Amino acid sequence: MGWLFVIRTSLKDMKKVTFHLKGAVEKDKITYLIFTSVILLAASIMFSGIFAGAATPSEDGKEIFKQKCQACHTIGGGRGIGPDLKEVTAIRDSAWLISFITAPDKLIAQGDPIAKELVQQYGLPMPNLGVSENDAKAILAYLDAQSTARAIAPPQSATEAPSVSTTALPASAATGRDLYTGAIALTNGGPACISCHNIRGVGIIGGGTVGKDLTDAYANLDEEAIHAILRATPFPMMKEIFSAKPLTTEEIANLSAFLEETSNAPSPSSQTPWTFIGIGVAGAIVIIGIFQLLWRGRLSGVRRSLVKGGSR
Amino acid sequence: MDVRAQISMVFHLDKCIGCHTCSLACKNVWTSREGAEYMWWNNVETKPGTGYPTLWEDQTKYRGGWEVKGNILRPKLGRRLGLLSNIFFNPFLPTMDDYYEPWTYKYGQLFNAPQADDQPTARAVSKVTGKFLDVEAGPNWDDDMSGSSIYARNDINLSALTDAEREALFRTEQMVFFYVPRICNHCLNPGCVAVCPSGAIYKRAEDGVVVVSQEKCRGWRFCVSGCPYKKTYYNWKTGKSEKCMLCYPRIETGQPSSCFHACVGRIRYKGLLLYDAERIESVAKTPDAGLVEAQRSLILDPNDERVVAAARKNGIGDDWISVARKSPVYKFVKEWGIALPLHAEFRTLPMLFYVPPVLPVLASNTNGSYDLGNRDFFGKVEDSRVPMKYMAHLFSAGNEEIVKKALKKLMAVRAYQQAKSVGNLSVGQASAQLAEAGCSTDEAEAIFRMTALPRFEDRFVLPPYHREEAIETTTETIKQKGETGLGFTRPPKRGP
Repeated sequence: MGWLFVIRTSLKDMKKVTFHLKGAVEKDKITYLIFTSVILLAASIMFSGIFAGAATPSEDGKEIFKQKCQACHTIGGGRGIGPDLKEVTAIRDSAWLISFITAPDKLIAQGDPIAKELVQQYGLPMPNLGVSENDAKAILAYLDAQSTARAIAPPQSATEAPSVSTTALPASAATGRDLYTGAIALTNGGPACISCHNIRGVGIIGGGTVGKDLTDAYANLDEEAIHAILRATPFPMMKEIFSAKPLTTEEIANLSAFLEETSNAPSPSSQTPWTFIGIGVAGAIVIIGIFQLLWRGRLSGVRRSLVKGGSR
Repeated sequence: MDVRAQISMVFHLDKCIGCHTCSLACKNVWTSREGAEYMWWNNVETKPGTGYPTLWEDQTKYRGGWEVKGNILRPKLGRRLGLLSNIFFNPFLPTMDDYYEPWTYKYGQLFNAPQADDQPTARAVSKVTGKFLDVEAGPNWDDDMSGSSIYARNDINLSALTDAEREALFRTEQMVFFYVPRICNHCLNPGCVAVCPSGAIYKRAEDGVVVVSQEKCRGWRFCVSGCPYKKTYYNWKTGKSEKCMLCYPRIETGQPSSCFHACVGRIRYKGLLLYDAERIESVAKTPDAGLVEAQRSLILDPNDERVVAAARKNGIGDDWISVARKSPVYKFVKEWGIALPLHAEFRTLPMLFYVPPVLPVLASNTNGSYDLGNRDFFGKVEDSRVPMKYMAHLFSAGNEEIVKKALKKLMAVRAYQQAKSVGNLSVGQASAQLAEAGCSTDEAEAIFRMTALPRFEDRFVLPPYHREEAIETTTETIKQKGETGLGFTRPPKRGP
């Protein structure tokens, strides 16, 4: 049964995650030193790059956008997980944009009205992706450039993404299902999706509830966004788990096919919480029945039967 | 030789009058609390009878004590796997009905009942549920053979007797009973300690008192089944098990335990024994007939130089060794051999010994008169109304010779005293009886003095615990005063 394997792998991964966190605390000072130096180095390289004109901010921004933003956002491609960013530079104040891109969690926590509204509208907060202020400026430059260009040109990702990604590969929904449930292990050793995500029609008791239910993922997003998410795994927990064990292109294609199939399948009425509760109640009755049978002699007093027997 | 010290006890059943003062002393000091009402750490049973809880001696029901299987000594309750498989559902527990449902009376009704034609009565109410209760049984329900047609007849010690012998016991002229007061035996090989899943029960290193740590106890109640004497009790209020702890706060301060102190018949003796802990397992494996002898051999002579040296090596102080030399228990058990363990066949090596009672002789009813036949009024042991088989079942794991020997010695001491002070026997007759029992006149004199004329300090020879010195390193003694006793340093969540 796949779910046993799933529990095993997910536990293993959880352990690793906690270990990693512990390590970070212990090595606090060294990490701090290394990080500061790396950041300073990176910043100096970037600055020198900018000032030397080796690459324009807009070109830098394109790369960064691909890496960090594309999983959820489009430019003129319509709403993904997050909002379409076309002309966002015109709508929002650039200082606000920079502070939001660099630290959305902070802004949300502060109760910024715009941030709050966005969270409400899209149903999930934007994760902190660790974008530096300079990167944010580069992204904004790219967005600026794209917003004007897009007005004429067809959406870039629509032409670019397929060539990069996977539609060419033969994708099998059945393999995708096996990958999802863990019947086939992921090549790079990542945990199966079912550990954290539920989806309709998988397993008796469904999948985990840590992540979102993926039944309607394909319907809500589109194939491209799903591919991008699976490639970049931008969400905090997924990032932690999959950054070291990325999904392969075939796996992404297969999983995407599986999500598509599930999303398109007609929803069966049996998949309600009552199935689970029913199984639970029946199981409890069976177990109690076994206990009653095994220990039926328990707590049968001896005195009453003596008295009932009377004098012999 | 691994010499250790053990506080141990002798109950002289010949002197017990069945007044239950011991039980009440204990109840008032320790168990008059909610959740503990039904517990009788000390109780007095009438024998023949089923005791408290009902049929506690029947280990087919309760699985207490040990058994030898192959050459392995194991708890009757099972070893680790057996315990684990029953851990949430221990099937070998006495029910509340087997103890009894504790009750009180609604005394207020006597004063507050509205005026009516009837006399108001104080009805019984359960101390557990608070509801009205039809009292059906109590901890000494078969006291003095009341209800004996049920309770005495079902005594499992009668199983050793033939049907005819059993019937004879219940004929009016042969009716007989005696009392067995019981407390925790503070065994050398305790069944309760062996089966505790939490490791909460332990035997104190200095004096062998068996106690339940109220902090470690998780209320699995295996000790309740595991103790063949049913002397651990589950407190339903605190969710922990409790038992007699020999009033250790009293013995540590030089006083005998409450029940010992309160005993009207002065039947109780308390003293120190030295024993060889290395041999516990091999002794507990001895076949039934040799168990009592083997247990006696475990007790060491405190005057033996080798024993003393080994005791010193184990950290037993000279003050304790000198107390062990004066122990009345040592005299009763080892020197005179007249005190025997109760149900040695449970193999827990109990450290409470009983001097068996000398009981009336057989008689018959001829033409409406009480006829002794040609038997002596003080008779012979073999003519005793209670068959030796029954006594042996209780006190010597079925070995009749051991009980007979003890009783013969007691009879000989009586004869010796009769010859001396009553004169119904000649000195020659008495000496012959003494010789037959293997008892010198000096020994007879000593047994007589210890039985009939012992002073307080002869009966209770307690070791100096130096408790005040032991605690002052960690505690302020003035603060500690008045804090000894049952209780929690950290109260349990369900606690009192």
